[in-house]
Amino acid sequence: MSSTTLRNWLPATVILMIGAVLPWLLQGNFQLRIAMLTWVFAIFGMGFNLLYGIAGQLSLGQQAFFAIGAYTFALLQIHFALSLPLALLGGIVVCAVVGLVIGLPVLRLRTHYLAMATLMFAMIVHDVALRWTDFTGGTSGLRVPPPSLFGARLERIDLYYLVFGLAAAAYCLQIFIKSTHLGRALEAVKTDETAASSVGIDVTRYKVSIFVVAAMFAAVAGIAYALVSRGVDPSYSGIGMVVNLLTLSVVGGLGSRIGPFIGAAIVIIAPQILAGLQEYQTLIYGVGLLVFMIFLPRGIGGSIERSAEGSFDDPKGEKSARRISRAETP
Amino acid sequence: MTTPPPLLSIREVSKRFGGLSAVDAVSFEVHSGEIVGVIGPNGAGKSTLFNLVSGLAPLTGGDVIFGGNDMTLVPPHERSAIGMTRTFQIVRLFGHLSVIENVMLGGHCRTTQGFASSLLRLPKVLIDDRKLRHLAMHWLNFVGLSKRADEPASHLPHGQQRMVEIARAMISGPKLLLLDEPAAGLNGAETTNLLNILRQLNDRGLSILLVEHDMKFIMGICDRIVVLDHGTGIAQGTPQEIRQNPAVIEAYLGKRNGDAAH
Amino acid sequence: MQTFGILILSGLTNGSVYALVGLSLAMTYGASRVINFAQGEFVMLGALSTVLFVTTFSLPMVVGIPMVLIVCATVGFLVERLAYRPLVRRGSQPLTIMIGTLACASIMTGTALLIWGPNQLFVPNAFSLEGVTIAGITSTPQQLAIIATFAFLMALIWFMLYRTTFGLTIRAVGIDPAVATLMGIRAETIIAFSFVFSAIVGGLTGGLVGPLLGGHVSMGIMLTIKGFMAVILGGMGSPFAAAAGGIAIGLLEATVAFYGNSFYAEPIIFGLILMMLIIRPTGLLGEWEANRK
Repeated sequence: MSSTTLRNWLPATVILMIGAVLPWLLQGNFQLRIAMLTWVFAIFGMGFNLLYGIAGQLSLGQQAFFAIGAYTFALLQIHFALSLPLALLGGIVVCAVVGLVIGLPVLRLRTHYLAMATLMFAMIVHDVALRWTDFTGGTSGLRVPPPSLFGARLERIDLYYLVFGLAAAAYCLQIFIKSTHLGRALEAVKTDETAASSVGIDVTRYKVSIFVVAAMFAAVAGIAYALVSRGVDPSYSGIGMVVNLLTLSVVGGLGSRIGPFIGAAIVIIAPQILAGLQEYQTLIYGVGLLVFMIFLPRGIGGSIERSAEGSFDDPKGEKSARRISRAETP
Repeated sequence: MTTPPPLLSIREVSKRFGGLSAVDAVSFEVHSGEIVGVIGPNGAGKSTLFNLVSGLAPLTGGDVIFGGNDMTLVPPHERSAIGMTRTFQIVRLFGHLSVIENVMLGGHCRTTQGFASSLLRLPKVLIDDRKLRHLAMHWLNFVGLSKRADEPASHLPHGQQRMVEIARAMISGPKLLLLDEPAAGLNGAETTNLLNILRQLNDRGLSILLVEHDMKFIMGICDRIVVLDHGTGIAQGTPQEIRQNPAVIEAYLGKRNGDAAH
Repeated sequence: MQTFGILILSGLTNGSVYALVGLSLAMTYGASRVINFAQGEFVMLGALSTVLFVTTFSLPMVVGIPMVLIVCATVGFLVERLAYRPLVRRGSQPLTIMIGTLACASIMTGTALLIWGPNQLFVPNAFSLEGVTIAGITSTPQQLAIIATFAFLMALIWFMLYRTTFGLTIRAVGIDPAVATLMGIRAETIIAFSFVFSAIVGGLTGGLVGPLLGGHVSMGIMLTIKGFMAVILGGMGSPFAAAAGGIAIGLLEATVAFYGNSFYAEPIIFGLILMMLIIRPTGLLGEWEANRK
């Protein structure tokens, strides 16, 4: 077994085992809900990780896809009485299409401009969610019907496994993209677009593709969030959502395979454990984000992978040299 | 006896920036199996010409015909699949990818599949990936760097990075290799090594078009030389002819000699 | 004619606010090559600390406003010293630093939430809010003060940038910090100055516009985005282009709100600016910046 395979699938196995046994270790619906939210935000984070961590394209508008996915999911069930799997698929497809339509023009922009353009797109979506009351339910949002699958009502525990299954699938997709020619090409696009195009990479196509993939990840996360919360409201597309996303991505580690899981777990669980901290949440997220960026820019996941990598395939102690040269990936 | 059509023909190629002519109606040909060098004083338009041929800058006039195809509208990323690939004056590797991953990227055009089709054909993608890794190893072996395959590319010294870049170009199976000052920044031993490698590639039938400052290098390897001055082609011929061409001596070699003589 | 006048006036008032935020963003960007996401938060801080000093501590306006500016300058200094500088020193990329300023925005909002709570607060006015009718157009002294302050600051910044040696060093740092440093200019000091100066401009804007908008802890991010829209319209190149963009957005907003549906004015403007950004990323007056890596 090569070290790369081991690096990919060892964390997968650990995550799968934790996910599978977690419901037996947790007590009550509240703890189960926290566990589900962790998986939800891990999915959201993985999409962002592919887009920014690997392909270097900073979008501050992922919360728009999170919301569009969730609203589509709710609306398809309310107005067309679609079943859960079809509504889920519908939400993903709509996000993919919107991602393509927005991505094509917007990805001609770079760096700050791309970040602000995507943020503006998200503000438009947020405004529509708030104001188009007849369609979106305005401030109070929409309720999602109780989940059922093939005629059977889903219990809390079933819902847990559904959400966890989505997260596991998202992880596999992430690993697939990262470890094949797709991931290499995206890294090349991040490093040097001119050189990438001259070795035969269609830069525009890759940027748009990964933008669409990230939009689909966000859609799945938004839908799962709506399922867990039993509804969807404009806060899904709010600025708070993108701060959550950035915080979990940076704390977990940009570009790291396991980062989104670690980041999501910390960002979701920390405010719950420290009682009465909800009021301080905005402040703490901000401080956490800044402190990690300055003192642990690789994030927790990235740092773990780095030291693990050393023991896998770096017996000659070259990892310290590598640490210096790789120190600055955004 | 009929000569086969040239592999690459540059016809009246021009590039203007605003009112300024950087390259003005330059024409020459590269035949199969040939090594052609482009020389000229600083600012003669060599690099611009190179970017025009490789598609990184759009032409403002003329045609680039490669293997019978008009290349004018072919975007840079499609050129390696057609058989034309380039290296850069300043080595442009993807620094935090490993050496072998860099070389594998050069073969991207061979396996190229979009996101959706890759997902649907997972086993094929994995097999292709393995084949590509094998092929990358072959080319790393050829340039003598197989031992460093798994190191980050940015760790290699400059001379070895140049070799990785050549391996990355060769894996796409080009008919024509475009080299932009390949010997720049190399020491004596590295230059000799580069010369050997290029000769071996040429013996296998590869055609090469290169821009170079190092006169000894270019005179030693090229079958034919094209001389540019102020954006126009002032002479072409064998190294021997170029050495004796009065216009070239005047424009390029001679000026310096003349200055020295006074 | 009268409605037209009112339209222009309200557009100018809001436009001045966007212009001041845009101008500050362009100034910080000019020196540091980073978009300061916390810029709008200084307006929030200015508005809410006016509430603190003038309403809560009952200080007179002439004492209160300078205190507000001191608070904003201090926070601006801290943002530079605790976020921007450490990130630059460890070699972070501009986008990473931008996320760092977003973290600062979050910290400022979070802290303000603890001090002032989530409700909209009435911000005391320095000038009268009583309507004054001049030539058939009704305005308030507060409104006029905003426009006057904007004009004054524009003149001040123009003088500082183009008529003083200090301004020359600021522009030099913006063009190439490394070369400027070689020439003996202390780039870090200049950048610190741009942060503090922008913070003061933000605070002043907040104190003036607070009575009209109301003070709210989450008002900042929207102002940052509006300011960035101003920068897009005008171009990153100069603070004045950005200011012109801000005025244009204010007028556009007033027009859309008046002739169209005021409810949808905001998304419509966002959409327009987004299209503008895609079609001409360098701004109407701008330099070729966006295509550079």
